[in-house]
Amino acid sequence: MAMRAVAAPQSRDTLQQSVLPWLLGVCVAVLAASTIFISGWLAIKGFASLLSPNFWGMSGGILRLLTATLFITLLALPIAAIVGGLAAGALADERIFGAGVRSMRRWLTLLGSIPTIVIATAIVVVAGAISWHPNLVGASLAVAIASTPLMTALAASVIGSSASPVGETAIALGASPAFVVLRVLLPRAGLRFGGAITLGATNMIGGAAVVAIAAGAMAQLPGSQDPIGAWPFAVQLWLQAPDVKLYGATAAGALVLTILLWLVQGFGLLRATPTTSTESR
Amino acid sequence: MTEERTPLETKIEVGKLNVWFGEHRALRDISFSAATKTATSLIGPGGCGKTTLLRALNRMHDLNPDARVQGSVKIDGAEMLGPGVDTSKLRRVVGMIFSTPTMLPGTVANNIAFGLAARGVRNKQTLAQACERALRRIALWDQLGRTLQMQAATLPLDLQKRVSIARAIAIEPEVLLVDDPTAGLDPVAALAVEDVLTRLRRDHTLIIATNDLQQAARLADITMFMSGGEIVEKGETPLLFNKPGDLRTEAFLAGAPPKS
Repeated sequence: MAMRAVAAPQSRDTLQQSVLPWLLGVCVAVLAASTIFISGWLAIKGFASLLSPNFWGMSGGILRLLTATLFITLLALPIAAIVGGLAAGALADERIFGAGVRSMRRWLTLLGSIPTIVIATAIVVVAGAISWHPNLVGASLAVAIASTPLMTALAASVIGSSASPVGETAIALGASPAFVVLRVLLPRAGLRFGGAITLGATNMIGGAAVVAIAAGAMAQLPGSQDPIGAWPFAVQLWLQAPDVKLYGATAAGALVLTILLWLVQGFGLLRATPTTSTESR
Repeated sequence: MTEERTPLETKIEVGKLNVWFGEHRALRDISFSAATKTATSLIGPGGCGKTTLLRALNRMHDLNPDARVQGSVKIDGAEMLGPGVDTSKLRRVVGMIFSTPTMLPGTVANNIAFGLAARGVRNKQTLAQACERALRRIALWDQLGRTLQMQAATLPLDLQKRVSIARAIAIEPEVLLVDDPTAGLDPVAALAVEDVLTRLRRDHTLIIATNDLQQAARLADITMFMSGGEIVEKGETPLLFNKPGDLRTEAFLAGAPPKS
């Protein structure tokens, strides 16, 4: 019986190890496909249009919103991640940087708990009130600012969870606080830091879409029926697109993405299932 | 303790040292001195302030915003508790080996050379030579030389302990603070670590906090018995163990529970 109890988690681990690379591969493929087709659309419209105030008035339907969302996310993500990561490093260990970081961390966590989409909307409303009509770069900066507290809070919790004994050991060897952050805390946080950035990025996409819509990129679907979910959205796009060359590939990408999301959710459930391994030693 | 050693000049001089954690006074007017290249052991019941005293000597309490340190700690006559002291430099002179050997990210070699890298040494050959030198000094090159490219965190506890000792001496500190060096080790591994510490006594001033009385007797020239944040008694190790001058020391050495 003990052998069976041990064997089950091992086979699950093997399954995860074999499935994970495939999932990552599909994810990369979808991202690559999306990037290629959006780039194609941009090539037709001209890449300079990204920085043009007229971008919001261009034809292209849903692709314009997708492009704007992607562009804003891609530009805002590194800004928020770098600023957030550095800020998190500074907040990493109160024993290294003093007592003031405690209250800062509390405020930051509070600020970070506000969804990016809410802060981004507020920024757009304020921008409208002061008659600021951002282009894509301006919108990206707004989303970067909106996402920085969340990124900082996520990264700080990841770094902080491994900071104390490790940071203390490094400090005792004569390392400066900056050296400790760069050479010890961030590398130790490793994959968890990447996970925090991914979580922040998924949150950021919502904010980016809101800012893009508020700034002028309306979601003009080719059909008259509104989609309820990702699946009907993809199918409708595929079936009703007047220009298959333009919309067909994006619809296929959305379809693959939907399936991928289901797989990821299923995989997450599989991982979350509590295991009752019995060590036979 | 069999080898004959001439008395040397004072390396560390501690005067009226007090440490508070918030309202709690953890150390009370601690005063002692330690001569160069001698081993001093701190013994006493749990919570008596051994580790707190060690951490005060290289200003590790600076990392704790709740801690407040008062008094004097002099290394070679220079005050170390003042505001203008470069604590990074101080910690290279006064190294510390923690009771739990926390491995830093990376390989065993990265760990051993960490202190030098933190000092700005980038040359790989220099770092590799420093690793080898540190391991040879404690006679562990043959044992650990093959593990240099292994991830340090994957080593068993006793090897991690020895890596942490090599890491501490790679920066060539003059004083080594050693906190419970054999905590969690089996008797064989503990003796191996003790052997390493015995080698270090030749070149470093050691202050060792230990819960193992036999270990204190084997390693230390001078032993200090602490209780309630105070030094109750200090003396040459054989004398203190054989003829303690204080009833509290006698009771502790006899294994009697501490009186509250």
